Amino acid sequence: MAAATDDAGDSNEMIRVVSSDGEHFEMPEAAANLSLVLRHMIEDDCADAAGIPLAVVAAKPLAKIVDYCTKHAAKSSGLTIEEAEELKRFDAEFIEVDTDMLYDLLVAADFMGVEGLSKLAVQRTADLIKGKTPEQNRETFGIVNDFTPEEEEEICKENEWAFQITKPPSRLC
Amino acid sequence: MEQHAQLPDHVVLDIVSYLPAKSVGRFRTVSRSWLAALSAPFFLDLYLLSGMPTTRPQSFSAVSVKFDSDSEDEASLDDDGEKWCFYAVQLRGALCVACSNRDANTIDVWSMNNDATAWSMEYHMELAAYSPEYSSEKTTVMGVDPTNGRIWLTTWQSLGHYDPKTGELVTEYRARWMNQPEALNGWMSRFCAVICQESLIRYPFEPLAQPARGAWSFVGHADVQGPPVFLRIQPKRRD
Repeated sequence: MAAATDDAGDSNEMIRVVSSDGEHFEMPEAAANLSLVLRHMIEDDCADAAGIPLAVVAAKPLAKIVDYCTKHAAKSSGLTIEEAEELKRFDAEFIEVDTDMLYDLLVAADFMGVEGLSKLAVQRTADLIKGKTPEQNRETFGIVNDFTPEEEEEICKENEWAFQITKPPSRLC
Repeated sequence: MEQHAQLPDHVVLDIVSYLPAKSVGRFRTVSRSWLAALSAPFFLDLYLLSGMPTTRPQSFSAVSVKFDSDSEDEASLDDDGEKWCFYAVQLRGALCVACSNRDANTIDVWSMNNDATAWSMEYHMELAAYSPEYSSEKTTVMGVDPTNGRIWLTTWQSLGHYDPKTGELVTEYRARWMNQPEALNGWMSRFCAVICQESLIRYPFEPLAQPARGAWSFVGHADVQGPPVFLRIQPKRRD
């Protein structure tokens, strides 16, 4: 049961959310406010004891998102340098997930409108793609190569420039 | 991620806009749907837009840039200050440094790696064959076309793309009036090329001595990928 008080504006109020597979979670209102969708629901008085249903977010990613929001809401303003560093470390560890979870986080953060998390997941995905061969990327992201051999040859030829290796960094000039 | 549905388009574009052009080029070859997604005009829009150049210094003087705190690079740059010119270029959100060498007539584009610990040379351009039109000291790097890896260059009077593979430079647009100065009472035409939506547009500007008198015109490139067809809106008459 959420620790509800009579004061609706109390930021200590707990907000309940329900995953697509029926699991209940709760987080402080300040944390829920990091999600655009939840904030709007709260503003519209849709946050009740039954919890806000999130039809497309399963329990596994939702648990991560609640974690993320709770951590970030607790340290949102007036960060000291150490706290900012700590939050950065938290983010770096937080996003060390497998590609399935990464996909779920991309979709869920986008759906729930959690901007910071979206950016984090997008950056992580880009980092996974960067510097990889097409075959490595197919493996990482489970993409099926549906080109015919002829098509593939042609398309690789067209994009040949992208496969060239630049000089290794030595000195600047 | 095979078992998942396709990510929403805007999320995919978001991801790709963080990638260097070469990674995009390689990623286009993984499957049909990715090829289609990464060739769509609206994608190019977004991608090229995020590679908008910053203004380069007009004068040819070295800018003090500290590339590496403990290497000799910095010192050697200072020594060679007269022939080198550095300016910042933003390529897809990443800050890169373009170094043009006046003596060698080359431009190199360097980018910082993810951890901001090392620089690597992304592109090296030899411009001697295209000088004086594109001499390195007056050429600015605009961005990289992710469909073919060519680099858009502008000199304020000519606009072209450079193929880093073959070293070939093709001019797409030239301020023609500059060759007929008498027709415009000696007015040297210059333009600023900008990438806007699907088009490259330009606006001309005049020497400071002559205040602008409604001489705006726009020349749009119909499609960044397509043939070099420019749509021109005639400039207003100058008295």
